[in-house]
Amino acid sequence: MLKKFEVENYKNFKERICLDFSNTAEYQFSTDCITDGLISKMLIYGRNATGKTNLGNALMNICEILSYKMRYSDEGAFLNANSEADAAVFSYTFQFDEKEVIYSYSRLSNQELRDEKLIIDGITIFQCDFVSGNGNFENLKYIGAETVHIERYMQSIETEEKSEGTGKLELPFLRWLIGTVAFKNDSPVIKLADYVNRMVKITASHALFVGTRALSESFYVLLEKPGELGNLEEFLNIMGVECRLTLRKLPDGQRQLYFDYGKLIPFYENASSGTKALLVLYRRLITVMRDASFVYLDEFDAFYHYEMAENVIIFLKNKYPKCQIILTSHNTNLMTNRLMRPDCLFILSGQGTLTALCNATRRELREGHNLEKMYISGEFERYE
Amino acid sequence: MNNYVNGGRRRNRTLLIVEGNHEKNILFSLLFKCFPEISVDINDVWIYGTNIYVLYNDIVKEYGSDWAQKGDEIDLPFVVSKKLQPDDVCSQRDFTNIIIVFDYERQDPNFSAEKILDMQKYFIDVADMGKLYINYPMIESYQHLRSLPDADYAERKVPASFANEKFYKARVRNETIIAGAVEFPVRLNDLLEKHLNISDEQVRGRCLERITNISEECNMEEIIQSILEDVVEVSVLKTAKYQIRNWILRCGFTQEHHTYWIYMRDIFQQIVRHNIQKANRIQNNQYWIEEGKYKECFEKLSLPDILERQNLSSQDSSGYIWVLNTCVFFVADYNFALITG
Repeated sequence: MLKKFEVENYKNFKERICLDFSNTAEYQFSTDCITDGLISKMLIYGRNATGKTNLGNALMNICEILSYKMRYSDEGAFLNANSEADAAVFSYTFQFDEKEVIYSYSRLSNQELRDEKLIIDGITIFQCDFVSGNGNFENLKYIGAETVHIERYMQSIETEEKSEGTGKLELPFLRWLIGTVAFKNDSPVIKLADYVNRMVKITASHALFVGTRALSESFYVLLEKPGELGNLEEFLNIMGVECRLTLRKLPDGQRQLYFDYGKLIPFYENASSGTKALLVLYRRLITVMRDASFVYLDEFDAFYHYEMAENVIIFLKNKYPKCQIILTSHNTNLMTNRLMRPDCLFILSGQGTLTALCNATRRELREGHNLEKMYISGEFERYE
Repeated sequence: MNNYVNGGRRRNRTLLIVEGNHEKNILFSLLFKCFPEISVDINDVWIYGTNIYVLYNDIVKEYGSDWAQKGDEIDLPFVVSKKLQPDDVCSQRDFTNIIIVFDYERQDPNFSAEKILDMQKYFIDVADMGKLYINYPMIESYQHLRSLPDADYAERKVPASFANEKFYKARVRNETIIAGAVEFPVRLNDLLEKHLNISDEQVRGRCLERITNISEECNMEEIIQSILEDVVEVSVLKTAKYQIRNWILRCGFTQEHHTYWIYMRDIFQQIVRHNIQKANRIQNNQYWIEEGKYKECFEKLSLPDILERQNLSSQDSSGYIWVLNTCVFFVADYNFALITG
């Protein structure tokens, strides 16, 4: 699981911002927000333009680094505009069983890496400086990778350099290592790669732009399997959208989803924004990311009634007890100990600080406290 | 010019509802100063002086006589501000602390066990709807310790028929060892203003701040002289510095190498602990609390339960009222570590 994430000089985060999932308090309520001693369900609040979406992008940055499939995303300005530093620094600390794995790197831009480092249980396994071309690979034996040919990696980098303009990030050593070495399944490197592969970010507002044919054919194919359409129907009903669904194959071979009110009504042309957002969530989570390790749900309840938003959180807690889920929201109704707890509720400030409610006041926050009212009345205003 | 920007809501304020007694204002100023962690800016404290039955009637006027039964949400800042400043009404959303402090006042002709219990049952959270702290028989009970620690506090009571202001205040005055220390800043301020003629409030405030922050006895006269030499006349400087030194020594904080504020913080911690024990005595018939169990015990205290027991024991003229101060529980409610640390 992800234990700590730090980023600096990235987009609006000029100073280092840290998400410490291990910084938990000893609350005896909403214990389902904690898994193996780490925060697994986190809800982030913040005024508009404080960087909630950027924080999600920062967290997901490692996916670009380690995935062969992902091209760099053009997210506009990459480095903080007010900083004179030349690189954005990312650091991920993972806890896999008893092992602590720290993977850190800095990027000069969307495409250029400045350096990269892997530390396992305090031992620096490797360190690369892409600017000077130097590296330290002496401790690869600790991960069973002592036989790799570093020269081949160097050649790969040179090849990459020659093919500039392809939009690919230059080859990080860790990605090359994962692709080259046959690590054992219980290797911390494999666990790290597996975790990163199962990270996903979902933005609710994308539901607005989903058109008639936006659902992939593969999703419809999945819904054709026995019970799957019923599962989707049940999910929508649990969330408060009472409906019956029917899936039909059209003469041209394409499939179409309908509300079944005796008469069939095309789903996408008629579903509300909230229902579409639910379907996007369902499709991404239930089908694409059945086994997600980490989910960043940005403004997840932008189209939801407050009860539906609560239902989604309860659903996520029940369905994904081990998954680390970060939700961002403006819905203060969710700021309650009934659902969350003060060490899992955070405020992102315009200054780029992220503070758990329990650390945003000297008051001892108890289960009976009305956190929403306290937030609105300014109890945590120094950290807003 | 556009007028897009609203005036902005003033929030993070504290509403202190008391009976308008100056001493209560002193107590809370002292508490906020001794426990800076509470982070209440005294300038953001709105003090509203009233009586519990007047307040009760104000609530009835707004929410109806069956408010307690209906389970309505009572917005006290709204009730109070509507009455005081109808053009600028406030809301509960503007206040991080709503502290309601009243004397038990069994002798009040308006006394109603039911009304007071309704209030005690509803106002239970300082950070939300507000919390009612009733002091038995009145606010001065926080000073009603004869020594520190004071084992006799366990059984300290006042006859119900003598629980009036005049009688009880005189008794506390006679028995307290706390009052002198509590009143030190007020007396010092009076001395600076009325005898040493420092009329400028800010200058006086700075002198007071520096004097109360003295923590060592060595060179005390020189330190006091350096604080006063530019602000008092030379003719009174010598007398003043010895007088203040004697007051400091009598108060006792420098003997323990503490500033006045640290010294008072320790005293308040002891006062709170005495009153937790006393509340436990009233509620559970057990005064002594094992070290390390104070917090657990505090969390199990029920102010409505204590009120009912007080009502019962004082219902006859031959009955009695347990001496108990609950408003100091505000500190423990805020963060119990302030009491133990």
